Amino acid sequence: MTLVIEDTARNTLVAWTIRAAERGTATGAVISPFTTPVADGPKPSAHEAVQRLQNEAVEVWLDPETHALQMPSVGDFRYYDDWPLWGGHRGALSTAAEMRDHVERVFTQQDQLGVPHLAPTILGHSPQSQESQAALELAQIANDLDPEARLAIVGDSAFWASGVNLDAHIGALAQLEPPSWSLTVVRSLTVLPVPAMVEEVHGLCRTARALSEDADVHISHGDLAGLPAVAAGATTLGTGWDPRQKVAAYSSYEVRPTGGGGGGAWFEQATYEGLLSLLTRNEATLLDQQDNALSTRLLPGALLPGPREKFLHHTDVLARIVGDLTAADYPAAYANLLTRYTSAAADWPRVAGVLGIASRGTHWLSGPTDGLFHYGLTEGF
Amino acid sequence: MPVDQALLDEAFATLGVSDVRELKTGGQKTVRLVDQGGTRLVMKVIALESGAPDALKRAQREVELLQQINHDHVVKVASGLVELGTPAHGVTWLEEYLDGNDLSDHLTSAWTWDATQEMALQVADGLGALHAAKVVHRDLSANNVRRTTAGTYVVMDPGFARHTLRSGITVGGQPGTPGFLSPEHLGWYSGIPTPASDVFCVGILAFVALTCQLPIPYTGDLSDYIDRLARVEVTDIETLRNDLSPSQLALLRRMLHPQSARRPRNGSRLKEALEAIA
Repeated sequence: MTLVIEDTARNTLVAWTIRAAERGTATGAVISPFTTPVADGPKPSAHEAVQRLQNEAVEVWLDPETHALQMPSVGDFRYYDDWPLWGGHRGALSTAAEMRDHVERVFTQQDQLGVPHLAPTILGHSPQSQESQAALELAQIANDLDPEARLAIVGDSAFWASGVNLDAHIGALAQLEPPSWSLTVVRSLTVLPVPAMVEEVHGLCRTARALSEDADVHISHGDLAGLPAVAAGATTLGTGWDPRQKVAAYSSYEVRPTGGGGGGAWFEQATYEGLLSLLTRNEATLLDQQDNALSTRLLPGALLPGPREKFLHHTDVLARIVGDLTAADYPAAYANLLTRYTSAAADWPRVAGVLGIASRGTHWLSGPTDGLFHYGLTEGF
Repeated sequence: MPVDQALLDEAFATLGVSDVRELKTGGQKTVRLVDQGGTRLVMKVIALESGAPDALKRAQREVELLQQINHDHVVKVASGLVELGTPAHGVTWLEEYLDGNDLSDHLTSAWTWDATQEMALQVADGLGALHAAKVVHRDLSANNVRRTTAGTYVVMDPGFARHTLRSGITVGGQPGTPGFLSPEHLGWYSGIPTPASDVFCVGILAFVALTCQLPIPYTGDLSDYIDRLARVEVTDIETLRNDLSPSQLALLRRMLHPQSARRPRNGSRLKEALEAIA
């Protein structure tokens, strides 16, 4: 297992995921009730999408994304409300009976699609609060109904940066001992690079390290920013071609105009393994023209045209790094990624010089690097 | 509010026991040796400051669970939890009488690994029975483990204190004994003690047995202790006992790990880990 392709508002999930799977870079896909309809319409139904993906040996998950309902600007319910996920009003989880009913409905939908159980959860802002208690209770109910269900932990940056309070909450959840976990950092805006805080990265790493001792850990919407958690023990990373697949953010669930868009042409940034960063299409083209040797070394390889090719290159890069990290033991994975960050930080000024721009190395690298470094200190590496 | 004679008399009458002698008194709690039809039992009485109906209901449910536990390393409960007065101004219950001494009486010089391991194994075994019944001890200290004259270790005071006793540290609303607290004793909501917190406390007992020192020392300054507990500033065992093997050191560090998810999950898992070293 390496990469899992997150659902997208565009109509390309199945075809592009299968292309990545054929290359051996993606092994799974996630569909969401916010972006995939339960019945056929402008987009293929969830059932059809699952069938086509499973026919190509792609493991599919239905993430109920119940945590999105607690986001302040959630409003894009055009597909969501057709899914029978609620007995009462949407989002009602104030009693144990309501929680149980919702979990049962989620599991029923997953059973009907023939996908594994992934339990719903509640968005966390503080790991010791009424909402964290509710998230624990929801997880306990899901675990009682199906001890084999994957459990999810979703929180904003402050949640993951909460130090010992986070560790205590994670410890309570760990008592449930599910076979796998999905961890998500939620942000305000769908922007890249994500503003990863040092303590947030540290907290995500500590959590991945702890839970990975006896369970699989997936970093949902992790993309490049999720790599420190992979070095700390996570085995799969959520990604995609659209920023909304690379980042879990409030803005991804806001009301938006109808229409699926044209295949992702508006986002065509190139992924540079040597920089652990993306460059815009114009920057990538200029770097390729001005210093082809540097471009080739950092990508690595030739700059490919088109959004699909750039996505496939992106999955090549991520899968290669994830493969290296998951093949190593904890200290070696830490050292591997820290070396990559150090090297990337050294190369950014040269790239910026060629492009005539200010280096964005700090934006892409400092949060993950420092968070990883703190994790290393905690572990005594 | 201390336990007064009127409350004691009410407890004797309610439980149908006669007083033999006092065993221990402190704060809101009194422990008496009593006789019930020729059988020596321990009667515990806790004075309640005010009505706490939800806490009492939880405590009563837990006592019912504990009455079903018949384990060599858990003190046997001989009665249900009985409320004294309406509304309740005290609670009382009966336990088996254990001879021997509290573990604290035996911690005057450093133990061998083998002796420490045996103690931790038996305590972990007892905790495993509690955890299987969904009970977290939360107040495991050297005064809550008995070493009988036969050399067996028995976990005492399981479960009751957290619902009723308000002495000791109540940061986060948790009972406990300074020096013997886990980091989760400082938590709220979903961050409160779990079975892995009891494992941390077994780690403290093992640490003290091996070194005669607390891993997070308590010298009487509660706020200083709480600060260091919050940062989980644990003295590394190897600085005090460099004769221990790598696997022994590794397990002790796991038991005292700041992240509860990194510790053996519960008493049974801890017992397995200790046996694996043997």
